[in-house]
Amino acid sequence: MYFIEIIFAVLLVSLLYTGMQHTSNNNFDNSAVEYNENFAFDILRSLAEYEIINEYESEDWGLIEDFVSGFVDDYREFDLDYCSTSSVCYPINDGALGTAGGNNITNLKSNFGNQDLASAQLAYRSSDGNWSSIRLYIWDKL
Amino acid sequence: MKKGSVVGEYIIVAFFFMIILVGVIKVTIHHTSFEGNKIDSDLACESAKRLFREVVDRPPLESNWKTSYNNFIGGSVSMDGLRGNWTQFGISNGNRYEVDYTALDFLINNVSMVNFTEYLNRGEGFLISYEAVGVDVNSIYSEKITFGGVPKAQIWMNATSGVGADNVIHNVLGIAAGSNEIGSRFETKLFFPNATIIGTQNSSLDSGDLVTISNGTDGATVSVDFNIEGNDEDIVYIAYTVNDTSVAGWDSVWTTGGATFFDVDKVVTKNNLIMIRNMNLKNSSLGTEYSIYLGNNTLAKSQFGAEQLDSSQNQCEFGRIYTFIGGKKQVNQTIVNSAYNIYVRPTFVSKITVLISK
Repeated sequence: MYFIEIIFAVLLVSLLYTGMQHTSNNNFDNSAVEYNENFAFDILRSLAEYEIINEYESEDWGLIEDFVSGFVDDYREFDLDYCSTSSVCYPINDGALGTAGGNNITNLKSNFGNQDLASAQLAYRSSDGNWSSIRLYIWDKL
Repeated sequence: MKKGSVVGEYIIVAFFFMIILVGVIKVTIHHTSFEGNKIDSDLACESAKRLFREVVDRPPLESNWKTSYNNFIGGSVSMDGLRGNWTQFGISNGNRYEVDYTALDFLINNVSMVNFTEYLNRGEGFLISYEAVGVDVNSIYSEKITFGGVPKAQIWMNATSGVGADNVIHNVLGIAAGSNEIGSRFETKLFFPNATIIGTQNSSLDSGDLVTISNGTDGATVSVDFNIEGNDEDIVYIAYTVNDTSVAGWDSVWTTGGATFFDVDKVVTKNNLIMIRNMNLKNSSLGTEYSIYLGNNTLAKSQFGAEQLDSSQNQCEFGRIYTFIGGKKQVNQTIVNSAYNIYVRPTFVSKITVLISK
């Protein structure tokens, strides 16, 4: 008897519900990633400025990792990898990167589900005279 | 159907739609408020980036600002006269990732906040703050400051003598706090990457003062907790190195040169950068924070702008890690048995952030 009213009410509520979805603007989340990306780049740049990474001696990955850990706050985590001229990348520390060759942003995100992963890369001339790069990934634990 | 039943059904249907209406109004109000807050947050983020770009990333517009500032310090230019010349203010030293500490010092102490309203949206407040996270130890070579009056703390490179083994290439870092006043507490935690602490020396520490040393596989950590008890001066000297191999006469090589200079230089360079994980000089009962110096004239952290009272409001923070470089000064540096006269510029790595709230 009241089918029309009930259908009308259901339709009304459905339309209002879909119309009231919050706009999908993740500016704040993007800001957090941008913050970490700048942060990651600034750390790598500082390592080069203070000659922790330099062109006259081989990379001391343990030392580099120690310095990075000194910069990164307790509420963040980080991972490092190193890419040679042959474009093969290797994990430097034993964090979430996993095995060599598998360390790219897409794999990292799928590996541990951190969609707020930020990364930065610094290219430099290594002691063998070739161009190499070091990449730093940072994400918030929270 | 009876007439009463029909009226009753109309009332039920009316209630039904009233409930829907109230629900819709409630959701609409909530939705509008949520979207409004989001817009405010987005605007705050834009302002934070704009202010950072216009102030932190830009050098001072006035090419003669240091002369004007020195005249102000010398007394030949009044504060009003000085402020009148400043329409915009930048604190970069021209390099995109460097801050001129002297310009920042001027900004914090002398520039009126009203100069920055052009970068803000209506009703927004701003806070520019920085805190050192790393420091170039050689650049903060200085004397210990004289403590008295208002509480102060200091982290500086001391003469390299008498704390660690002379034949090991090392630095000696001084950490001190003091005052005539009672009730302040200085806490700091320093990390020496890949280094080992090879000696310490305390001065005037009381039972309430704690110094904790930890030599780990990644490096060494020093935690300091000094309670200032009035007419008090607490000091600890830390000798550390990233390479504890004995190198006889390294001090002479480092100060005057020699065949092994570059070998010594590699160790000295890696000894230089240390991390500051935490630092705080505070009187909790008064709720007051006091100055912490790197060297003897450079503040390790400070802020400029309006105090942010309600963190639940729409805020956005934009920050970077920049290198801060202070003014050049001449010092007589003593390293073991050698001494030389050098210029140093206090240099530290610091987070600098702009926080906007509405």
